[in-house]
Amino acid sequence: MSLQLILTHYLASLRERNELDALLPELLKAMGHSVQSRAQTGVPQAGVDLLSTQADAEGVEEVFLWILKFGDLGRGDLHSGQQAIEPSVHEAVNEYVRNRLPADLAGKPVRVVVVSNGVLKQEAQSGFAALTKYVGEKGHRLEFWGMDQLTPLIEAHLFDEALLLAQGKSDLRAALAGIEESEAAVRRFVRFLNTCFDAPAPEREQAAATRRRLFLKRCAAAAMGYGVLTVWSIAENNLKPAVIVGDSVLVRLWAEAVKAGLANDEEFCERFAACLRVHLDTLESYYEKIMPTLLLPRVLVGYRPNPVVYAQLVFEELGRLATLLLIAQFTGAPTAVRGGIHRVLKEFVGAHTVCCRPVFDDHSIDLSLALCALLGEDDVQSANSILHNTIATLKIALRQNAYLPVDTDLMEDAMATHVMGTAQPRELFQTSTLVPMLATVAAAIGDDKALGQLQALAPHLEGVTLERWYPSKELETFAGSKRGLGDVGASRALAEVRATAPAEVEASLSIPEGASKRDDFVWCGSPLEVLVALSARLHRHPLPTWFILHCASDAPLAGDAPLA
Amino acid sequence: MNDNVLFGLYDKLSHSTRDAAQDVATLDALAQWVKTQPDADHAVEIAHNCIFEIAKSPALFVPAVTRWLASDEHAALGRALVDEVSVRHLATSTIVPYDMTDVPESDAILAAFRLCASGNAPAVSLGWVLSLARDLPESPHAQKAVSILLSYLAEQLPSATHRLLRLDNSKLKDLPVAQQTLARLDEVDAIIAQLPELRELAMTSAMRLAHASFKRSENRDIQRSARESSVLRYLATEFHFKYANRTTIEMALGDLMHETSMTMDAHHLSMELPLSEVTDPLYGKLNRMRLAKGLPK
Repeated sequence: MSLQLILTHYLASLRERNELDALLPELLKAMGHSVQSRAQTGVPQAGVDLLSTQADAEGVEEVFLWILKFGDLGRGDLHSGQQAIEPSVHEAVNEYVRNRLPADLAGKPVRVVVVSNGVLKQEAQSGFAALTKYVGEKGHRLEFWGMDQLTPLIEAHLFDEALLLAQGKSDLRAALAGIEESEAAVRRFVRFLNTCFDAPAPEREQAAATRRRLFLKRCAAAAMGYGVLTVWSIAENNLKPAVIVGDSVLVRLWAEAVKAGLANDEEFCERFAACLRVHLDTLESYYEKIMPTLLLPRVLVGYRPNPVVYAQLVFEELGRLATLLLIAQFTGAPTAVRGGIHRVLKEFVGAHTVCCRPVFDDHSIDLSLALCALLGEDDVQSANSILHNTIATLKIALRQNAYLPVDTDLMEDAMATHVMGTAQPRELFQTSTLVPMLATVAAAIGDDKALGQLQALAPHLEGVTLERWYPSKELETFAGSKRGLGDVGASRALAEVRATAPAEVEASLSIPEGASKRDDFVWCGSPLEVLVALSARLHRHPLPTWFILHCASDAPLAGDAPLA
Repeated sequence: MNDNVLFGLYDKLSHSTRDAAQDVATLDALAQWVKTQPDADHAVEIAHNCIFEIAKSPALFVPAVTRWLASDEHAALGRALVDEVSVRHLATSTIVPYDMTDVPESDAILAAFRLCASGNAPAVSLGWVLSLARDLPESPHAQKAVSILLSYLAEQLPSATHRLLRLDNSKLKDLPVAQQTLARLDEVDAIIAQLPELRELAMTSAMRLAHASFKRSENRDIQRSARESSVLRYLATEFHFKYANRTTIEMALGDLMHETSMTMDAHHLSMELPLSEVTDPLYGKLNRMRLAKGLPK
């Protein structure tokens, strides 16, 4: 997995004092240099921003003089202007080496390195070559380290919280320190994300261009933190935090972009795509690692030794795998890639009968994601089989008054009713989002028989509120906000499941007051509409009916612009 | 009156020599006696000694099970017998063989399905199924039942089935179906041995706490119930030690203080629950109900 694109975006955003110049000494130390002096504002430095030494394999010590520049360097930057390289190099090899080099370093080989978080443009390369020759004649070496040289070095030597300068550094450090405990690491990383995007009030008053630059910088820092956490997750042999925060980062980046009015900004999309790429690569590694175990219930019970925690794992992975397939569908991934995920999803459902029996009501979310993903592959047969099995199992559970989906979604309630038998199942089955979701799916595939079976459950569902939830457009900016889930949508209590598919489709698409239509959302029609699926998993809200129907429709899911 | 009838039946059942025709008559008499009682469950409870003798002897167990498990009329007796034999063979580490040569094929097959569906001790269920394979090799129905039930046992009780097939020294183990099942289980074990330990699948701290609390309360319930039903509590005094396995107990005998040293040994018996008890209890229940109906048409 390469994080160089994220790193490149991040380094490119370090354009101010105490940013790149603060990072360089950390990198040098990590590379085994001994940093002798650092850049200091207001002190004449004779062109040199940083002095370090490093001994080679034979123990010969070499002196490094670092000259710091920002951004891409063109021909104009060689001789004049704020970025002028030539005067700095001249000063370094003439003034600094002669008069300022500490006595104990005198006579040792000297290498002058011009460092920038951009590239040396082709137009400047002949001028730089002449300068290199000049320095060589003086008995020293001159090199240029741009983005292409810095990123692999940072990836190899400095991939931890030291990369981040101030904001959120401590939260990221805490997340990395506790990476073994996935839950704690994720919680701390979300704190880091909050800090990253917490813009101070004066910033909000600034000009649009400045706000855009600062927003992109925040995105780059958040992405960088995500990259660091991912690398550490791999190193610590626990990919779970990386796959969980991947969802958080993507949903959060989008929320911030919508808030900033920059959802269609080209640079933002580039940064977003880089994070998405890392997320997909991480998910691929994750499933390569855990899928052999996930397909063996006998082994899984060793990790999850009671029916409630076992079902939680199964539905968590069902939802995640389905979301992966949905991302592949919406971003126009190659057919072979989609086919592979599709096959694994079907194998997973086949290995776990509990996939058709939500233990919590909110497991309906994961089930609906799986159904949408299968419908997105035009695999109506598999979706139909899951639909009918789920209805049949629910019917048995209702008749036996046992194993009903727990509407509080709380583990202790599920343990009390499903394992210990100390709570009445009906007391914890007063709301159902499962039945309305199944009705929408049945309508989406035109299955009147399934609708009839759902209608037949009505006598057993007396006193149970059939809740169908519809989001408002504020859902797009929900991540990281102070609002509750109840504030970003509206629910309807269904009087009945409709008898025919067209009637149920119409009922499913009838938006109640306080909710928004599909085309009110900024992501509508774009590949990023798939973020509603990630949001559903992350924030535990039902999938909007319009999304389910869209996945089941003949309309292409990928939209016009493939992202990944 | 009841006592006399039951005593007569018990006397015949506990005899050291067996006569097949006589045994069948005694079993039928016991079933008839239970049937005449107003409360079948209570009657079965009173007849516990008879059931104990039947469970002890495979020669009695086979005709009893085929008569009672295969018929809904004798459900209470069938249940009690299955419970008794299950307790008896809970810790048995070898397959229990049965002779089915004199048993009607359909009854033997139905009993096999019901023994497996009842959550019986694996040594008994597996023993019955393999005996079926050995004694009815020409019967396609029996062989189909064997195939279904061995798959069920290997899937639902993989560790117990594997252990019994591996450790058993009887000829049942040499049957081709047993060898095939053993090979399949060996293969799965080899795959499992290669799998890495995954931190990704570990329980969260909240799950660990909830599970530990559930296990504690389950354990306390078991201990409480065991104490309440134990006759030992009327005969012996309980001491509870926290720190040591080697203990000394002081006893005051008049003015004298007497000490008795004793070493405590740990006793435990682990049982494998059907896999579906964790993976999907409702599915497990439905699956067992399906099995109890016998060979699928």
